[in-house]
Amino acid sequence: MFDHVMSVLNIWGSLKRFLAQNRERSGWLMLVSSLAVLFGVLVIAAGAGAMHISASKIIQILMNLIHLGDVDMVSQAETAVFLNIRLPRVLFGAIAGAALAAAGAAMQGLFRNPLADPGLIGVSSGAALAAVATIIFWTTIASGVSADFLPYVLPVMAMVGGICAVFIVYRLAVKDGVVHVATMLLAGVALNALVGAFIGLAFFMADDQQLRDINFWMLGSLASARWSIMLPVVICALIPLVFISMQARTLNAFLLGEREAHYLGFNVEKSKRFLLLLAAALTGGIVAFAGMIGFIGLVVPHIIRMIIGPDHRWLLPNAMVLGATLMVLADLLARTAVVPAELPLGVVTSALGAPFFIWLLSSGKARMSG
Amino acid sequence: MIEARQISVSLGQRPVLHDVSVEVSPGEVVSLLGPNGAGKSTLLSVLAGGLRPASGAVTLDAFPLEQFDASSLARRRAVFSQQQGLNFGFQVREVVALGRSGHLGRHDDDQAIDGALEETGAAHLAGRSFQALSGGERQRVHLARVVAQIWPGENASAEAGRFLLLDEPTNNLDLAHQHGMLTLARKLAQRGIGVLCVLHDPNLAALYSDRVVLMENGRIQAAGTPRDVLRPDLLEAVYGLAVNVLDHPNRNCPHIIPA
Repeated sequence: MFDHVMSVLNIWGSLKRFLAQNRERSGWLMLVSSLAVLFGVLVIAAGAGAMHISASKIIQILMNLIHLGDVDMVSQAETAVFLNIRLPRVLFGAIAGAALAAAGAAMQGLFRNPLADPGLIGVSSGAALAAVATIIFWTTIASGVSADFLPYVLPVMAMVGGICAVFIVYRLAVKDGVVHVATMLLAGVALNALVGAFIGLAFFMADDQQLRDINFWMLGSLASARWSIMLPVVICALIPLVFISMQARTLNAFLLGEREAHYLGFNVEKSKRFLLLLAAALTGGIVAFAGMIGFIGLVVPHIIRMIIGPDHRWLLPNAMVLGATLMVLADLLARTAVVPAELPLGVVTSALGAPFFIWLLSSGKARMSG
Repeated sequence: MIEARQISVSLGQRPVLHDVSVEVSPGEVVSLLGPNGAGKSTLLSVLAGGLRPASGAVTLDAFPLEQFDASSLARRRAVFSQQQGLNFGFQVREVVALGRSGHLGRHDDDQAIDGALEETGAAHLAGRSFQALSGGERQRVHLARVVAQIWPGENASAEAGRFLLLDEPTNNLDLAHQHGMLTLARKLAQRGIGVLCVLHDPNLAALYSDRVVLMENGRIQAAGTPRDVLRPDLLEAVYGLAVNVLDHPNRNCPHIIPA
């Protein structure tokens, strides 16, 4: 066992040495190879579950969609499970992982702080408070909403809560038209503490069923994945992901400090606002539908930085792909480890992410170094 | 020409600059001297467009600085600040390449980056990790970055004037690199770049500048050629230190030693 661990560490070391020699080459290499891994993971995860669907059957099902496959090779049940349950679930997981990792990378760059996390600017806790309040007052709220919209009430409330929280934190940090990043971090910490108190109060007030609902939501899950939520998820995630990728050079310049970024020719205040908006939309959109999923946004950018360095032109796309891969894997574990029950996804990501992060710290490489 | 006219600045309640005017023309090296807290760095920030003065105006070729967008200003002037923080593990060449951010996609980027690394004596560091460098080496890499930012292109004479604003560029540098830095400033001035340089050593100012501006308590006490400004009476009045001013043995400039 020990030998295996050591050899993995050795491969890790030589990989890093090789990749450090040429950043551009390593950026491409990493992106292409991790995309291949992501594709493999998606196929495996989509096939795994109570009903196993092999990779060749998955190809058949996809071919059938465009009327090119051999219809008899797969049963209708397999087709239905794959298309209606597994496919939206793994796609939602991939999008959620990519969004949280990209938001984390952007926040760490913007705040020039390795511990920055999308949760720091208040999105997650604002969304959590709104979601918990929705669960507690569900009977009142549900009576006023038509049945068609009931499934969307919780996500919409969570998103509104997240946006309100960011707005409050943002207003606290703006003075004379300048966003003070350090004040913003502190305001985020304060708001998180306050929201924590309200959530504690909600726990105190809730009945047993509400407690279960709150817990389920606080611990994160991709169980809400179905095609009907894909449109809002795609709008909340994919569009900001494209825009955030276009901010890579700005984020690089921010690493020198805001004043230097201004001297280098960037419109600092505008970029800061835009990046905050993008990170809030990414995190808010995912938290609204999947609850709180920790550690992906914090750990993934660190791993990528250690391998290919801090250049956001490579960091952002690579973090998205690795975030997607880890999220799909974690969800695979969450829904297959204790069949027929499902582990909370946030528990899996934290249980795996935290020890890994501790290993990063103890290996002495988890500074902002590359 | 980059010009500040009747600038006043207060930080909080404390006035830092009163009615200060200064200008830098393409092709000249101007040194800004004065005791700690005289307002030198503040004046440099105002000229750089990093700090808006309470009153007065800064113009670049007669246009107010606010009329330039950040990236076109970045192609005209580069700023070397004190206290450069960078905690992320960039390689040295990547740090210098950040200087070309405002030039997106120009074909001479590589030439500017390599040239700046060469001129600042940092070429041998290009592939190293920035975090592994010593304080002086980091300083030179940041200098290479700002030099790359306003690197004169092939048809430099046809382009508008460019300016380099340096806040204590010789801090942390060894003797040879201090002189190397200011020799580079002179060389860039010969290629048409206007250089403004905050310095603490009057002898460096005497050796390398065309004009010296002497500041005290947010006001300009004297401005002119090194010989006009670096006089025992003026220096003693400003610094409160008695000095003798000699002639440099083989360069035609004053040399200051404590009396």
